[in-house]
Amino acid sequence: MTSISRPAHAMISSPLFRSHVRTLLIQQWKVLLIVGILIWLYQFMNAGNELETPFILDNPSTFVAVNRGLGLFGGIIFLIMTALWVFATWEDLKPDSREAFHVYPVDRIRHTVVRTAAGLAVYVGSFVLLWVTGAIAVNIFMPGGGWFWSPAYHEGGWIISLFGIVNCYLLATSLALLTRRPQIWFFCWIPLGVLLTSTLLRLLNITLLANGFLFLFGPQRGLYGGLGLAVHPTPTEPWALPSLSIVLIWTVILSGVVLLSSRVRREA
Amino acid sequence: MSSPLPTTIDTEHPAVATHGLHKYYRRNRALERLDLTVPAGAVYLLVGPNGSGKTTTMKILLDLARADEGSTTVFGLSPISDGPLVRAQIGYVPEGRIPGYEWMRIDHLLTHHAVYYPSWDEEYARSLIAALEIDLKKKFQKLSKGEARRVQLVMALAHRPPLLLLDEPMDGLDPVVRDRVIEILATHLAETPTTVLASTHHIQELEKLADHLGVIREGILLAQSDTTTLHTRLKRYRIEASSDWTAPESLAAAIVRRNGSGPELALDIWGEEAAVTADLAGSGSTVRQVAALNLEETAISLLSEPETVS
Amino acid sequence: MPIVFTIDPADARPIYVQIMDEVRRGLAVGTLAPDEPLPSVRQLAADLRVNPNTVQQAWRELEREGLIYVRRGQGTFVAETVRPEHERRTVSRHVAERALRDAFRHGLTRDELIATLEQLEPSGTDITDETEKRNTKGADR
Repeated sequence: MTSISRPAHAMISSPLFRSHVRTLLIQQWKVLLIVGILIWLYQFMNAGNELETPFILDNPSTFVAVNRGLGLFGGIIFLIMTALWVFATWEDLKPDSREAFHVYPVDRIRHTVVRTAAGLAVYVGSFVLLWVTGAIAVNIFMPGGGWFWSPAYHEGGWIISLFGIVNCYLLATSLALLTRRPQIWFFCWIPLGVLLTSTLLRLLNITLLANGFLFLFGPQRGLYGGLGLAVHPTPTEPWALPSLSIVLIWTVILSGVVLLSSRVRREA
Repeated sequence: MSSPLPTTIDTEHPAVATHGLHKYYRRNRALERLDLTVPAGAVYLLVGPNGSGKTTTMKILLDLARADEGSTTVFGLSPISDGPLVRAQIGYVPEGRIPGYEWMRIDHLLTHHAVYYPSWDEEYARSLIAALEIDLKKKFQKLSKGEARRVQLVMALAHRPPLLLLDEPMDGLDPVVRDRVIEILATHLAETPTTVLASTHHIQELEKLADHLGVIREGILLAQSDTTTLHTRLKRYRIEASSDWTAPESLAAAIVRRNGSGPELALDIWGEEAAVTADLAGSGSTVRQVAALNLEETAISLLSEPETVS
Repeated sequence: MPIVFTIDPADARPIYVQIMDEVRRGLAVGTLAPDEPLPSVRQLAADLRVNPNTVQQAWRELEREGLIYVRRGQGTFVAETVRPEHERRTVSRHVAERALRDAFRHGLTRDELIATLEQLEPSGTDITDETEKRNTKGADR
């Protein structure tokens, strides 16, 4: 390796990462604004629900219904959030854009890592920021409305879901960029979509259908748990499987299929 | 019958050298047996009809596309195994617009781009932006074809790379801007030791900068040479001959282009002038005029040659 | 720059020779005086839109002929020892050679050309005449 390579590789550190973070923020501030508004809205609604809990507990079914409703709303937020992120990131992965990405004097794997890491930093970072500021706002305007770990937030389900979506994003973007096959990117989001759908069905009380879905694709408790780290088997759902692993398995399977099929075809 | 046209350039340490490149898209031949050589420090114009393989060649040098057969070196390195190293030394102006950054503002696009190149000369970039009258506040998608091209030129030139790959650099530019760009390129070459490989339809304008020419058609490099040799060896002979005159055996393969039906004919012939004139005179025709061709006429002439590759 | 360089890529002479001839023209007419500074390679290449190597080559050849010299750090200058009459003769020879070649191309003999030349009125500094001539002979190069 001559000295000329040193500058190129040494660059895969702060300046490049920072520039990508900056680029993503500039590109997606509108998305983040929408998400921010929705998160704040959700938190205020949850706070309202929380404050009325003593009253609602008298009637457990109402409590459940309201929580289910909020769960649904939360689910919808995530759906929108994911969709917005999906389409925002798609810009990078369009066949034309990939050339713009790959023309740079950077090792492609490292470049993909930096790009994806920047995406995560922006996604996770902004989410956390919005969440925390929202929680602070809630407690200023509706004292006692609850914080992160309040039961109204379904046992930190947000964090769990976040990890799930993050996982999909990581896999989707990096695989697609690395292999230069944007189709992989879509495939990686399919398991997530399936999980979201089944949860939605469950929340809408279409349990039978939902359970069928769940059996095939992995169960979850509420919208959030299933997308995240792990769900422990429970007395009612002894066959529960860690849902993240389901997501991972599906991603690997589908990506492998795409990679293999393109290798078989002689393509430019 | 093999063509006497020059297809090889001898140089010890070429900036770019391809060996037997083959590339097919589905059934279509994009490149065949391409042996392109660009000497270090040369300004090499690659000329050919649309779809003849110029863009494909450049993409292979950048590893944006892979050849099906053959090898490539850029400054002695392989674009495949030493991709980042190779691309660090290249300034690329692609055909069309750079995809993927449509939503970016130009100032941000340039700042982001500069991060990738340690040799980025910010002052130079600024002077280019001023000279090319680029509006930094505009978003890339709002730029006209010509404005986008100007931005892409800055992106390629400002880090003073040893190799410039320019794919139709003048495309979409009005005559005044084209002139400005040529001026900028001439200055750039004087300030920075650079090798240039440019594909262009505007041969006349770049003629004075160019010192090498390669002519490609349907993926095959018909001829390549330095311009001095071309200028000396390819000439237009205006002759007067009877209607049943045929070219002598010795010249048959060397006649690149033929115009007119007689008694006056214009023949573009490759060879040493005195010998060709003697051969023509000896065959019963009268040589009225021997004219040198400018680079555009040379390219057109060479491109009109029917394929003689076996 | 006291002279304006005119370069024609279609001319049979290589560009560096044309540049040299332009300098000689300036010297012959006297618009380029001894010790006059010449443009830098960078400047002239940019002005003429030519490859800097071409200008470099012209400057090298002129230096070899003793017509110009390089002062380190200050640039290129016309040599002190330049004699306009000598340059006039060189330019004259080049023009005459071109005229002769042109004549032969049109099937004329040297004597015919000389006879015609003697009959022609000298055009002096008539710029319009030059332009007209250039336009009409443009197609026949």
